[in-house]
Amino acid sequence: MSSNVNNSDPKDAKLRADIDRSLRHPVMFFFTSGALWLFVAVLLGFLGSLKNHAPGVLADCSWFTTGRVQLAHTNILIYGWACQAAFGAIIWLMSRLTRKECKNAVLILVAGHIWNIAITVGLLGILWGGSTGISWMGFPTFVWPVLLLSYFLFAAGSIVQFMVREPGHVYISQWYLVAALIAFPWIFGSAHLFVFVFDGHPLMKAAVSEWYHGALTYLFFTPVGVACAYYLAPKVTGRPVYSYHLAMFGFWALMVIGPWAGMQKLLGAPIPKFLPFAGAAATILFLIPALTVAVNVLKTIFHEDNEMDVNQSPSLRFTIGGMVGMLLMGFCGLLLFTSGALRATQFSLTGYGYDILAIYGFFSLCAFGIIYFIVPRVTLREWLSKRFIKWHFYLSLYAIALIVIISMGGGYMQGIAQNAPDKPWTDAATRTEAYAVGTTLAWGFIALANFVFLCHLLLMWARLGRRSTHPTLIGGEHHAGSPHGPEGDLEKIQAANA
Amino acid sequence: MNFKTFVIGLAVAFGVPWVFALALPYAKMTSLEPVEFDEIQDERTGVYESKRVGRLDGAKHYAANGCASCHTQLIRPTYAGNEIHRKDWAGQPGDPANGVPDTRRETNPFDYDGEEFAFIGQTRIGPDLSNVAIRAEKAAAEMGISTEQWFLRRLYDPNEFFYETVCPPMTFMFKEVDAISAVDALPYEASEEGMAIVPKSQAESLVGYLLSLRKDEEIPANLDPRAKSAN
Repeated sequence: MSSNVNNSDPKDAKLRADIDRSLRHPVMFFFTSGALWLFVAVLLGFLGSLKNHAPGVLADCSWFTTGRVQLAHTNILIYGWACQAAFGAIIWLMSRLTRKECKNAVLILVAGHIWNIAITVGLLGILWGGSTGISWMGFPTFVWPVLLLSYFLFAAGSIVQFMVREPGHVYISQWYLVAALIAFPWIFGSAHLFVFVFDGHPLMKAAVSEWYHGALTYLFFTPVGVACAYYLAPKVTGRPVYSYHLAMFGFWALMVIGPWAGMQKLLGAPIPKFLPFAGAAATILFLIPALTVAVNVLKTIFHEDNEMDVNQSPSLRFTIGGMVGMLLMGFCGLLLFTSGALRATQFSLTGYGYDILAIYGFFSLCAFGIIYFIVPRVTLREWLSKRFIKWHFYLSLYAIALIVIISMGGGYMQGIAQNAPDKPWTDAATRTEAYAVGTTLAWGFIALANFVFLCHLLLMWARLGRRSTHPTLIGGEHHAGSPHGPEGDLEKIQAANA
Repeated sequence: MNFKTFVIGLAVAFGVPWVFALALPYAKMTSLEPVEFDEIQDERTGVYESKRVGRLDGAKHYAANGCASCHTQLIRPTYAGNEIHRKDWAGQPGDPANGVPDTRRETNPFDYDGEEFAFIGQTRIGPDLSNVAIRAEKAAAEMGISTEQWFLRRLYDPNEFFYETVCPPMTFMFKEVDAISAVDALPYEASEEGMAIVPKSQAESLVGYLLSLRKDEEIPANLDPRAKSAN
């Protein structure tokens, strides 16, 4: 990997330090505001899930009626947290991998503020009763052009950085990042135009909104998550990626399969019949890139020389979690979206469970991995507490396991009850209730995990982290040989330069 | 792999599904060909025009309150689901002995006429609403009240009709006015003596929309795969 070649070269270390300094404010802005929104989204998720079995909670308040809370929860999770975590990761990784300092930090910050203001207005709009009612496009319609504009403001810099890079090798993570950077405006723009601007058939608008849902998952969040994993695995272990060919294959498999997914939600609707089947097929075939990427990354990480890193590095641990999440996505897709199973899972909790697995169990864990890696470098402080990191990790893990078992397995059972026409509808409805209780419990775990994470990150943002040359590791005492390599000496270099 | 092949590769990978799964079906569905009644099968002629009765402006309240999070509006063909056989969901099962026709049918593309967006829905926490107006009509007739009144009461206090429902009460869509001037007041106790609970305009338009959710008008056999195969 290019930036790993001369790890001990002081000139090289200075370049890295300069890049990190140039990006401190934009990256920290995206990560902290993202974490803040994540906490809001998790609380809304908890409330929404609670209302699915205890409808009396906050029942008289129009702002918190069940449907509005659900819409707010999903949209804040996507645009408030996931997008912003991805943006932060993209700008940092792009700068590091193209070895260029960020020259437009102010512009990125402006874009970030516009984005956050738009999200805030959007959230209030939903709760006030101005939502469009479309699951992943729930903000009032005037919000989306602002989001797109803000995206262009921040993404232009990263694209330019890539175009003017020094000729030479392009690393795997960069393919994924460039693909995500191109995919986002393409997916976001065309979906919103088709749904809100053009005068189409209402059913096709619904189909496009579901395609958007799938495409954003597979062509934006997935590539960014994978880019983080491909960056961290060799960086932390100091070993090259297991197979370059496999990486290439996984990339193109994802890019070819991803854009077809999504419309399986409309199985049985009177739209051209192949669309839902193509969507279901793509969701199943996602197993191929998932398997390729996860095997490749895990093979890089799990090697007898790396045992110490695996046990100690928080970034690696989250990345491993994310890769397992990606594998689970692949296998669950295989089990739950075949045409036999789809009739049960189409309108059950399963779809929601799959989304949470994709956004939290896969993408967010990868994003946490990169955040635990980036933040000490840009703030020049180490994480305060290994206990906080452990809580964050294990609580997230339990929650995801719960959601996978409950929403996906339970959703299947619920779907079977829905499809038993001779039994009263109440049967299917009461079956849902137990699973809804479990989901609420899981959101409770996630809320706790992210409260810890948010506090930890805010302390780091306030530059109250440890002043130390030793990275915070989760596995015990500090070792002489830091698993992060000589980069732990950043502060010394900074001091020497000052 | 240089940048040029990379970009061309991406353009093809993204472009093909964009054209074939998005743009072309979208264009095709935008200009649906009108369906004609068949003289032999339908015993009438002419072009079918869907006639929805109700207030479609209420759809925006259906959207904004996230009704589609828990309710669907889709009767799937039997290869995809069984709701056609569920009582009162898809229509009335026929009774040939007494000359009652089978009115159960799948959703067709004309069922969403006049709407901005087809709320297929996300999950079925609650029942499908494709034919909710028919069910409401029956329930209201049993209670001796108007269908509209039934819907209003159902929105105000869902538990009155379905004890275990998790559907949230939409009390914020109602207001209290002086009992003397109140028209169509709901039979619930207001917070003060002499006051009565009446719907706000949003409740009325939402109910208007729900009243339009019934699929029992006569459609050409060509539009109904079940009728087609039966003949």
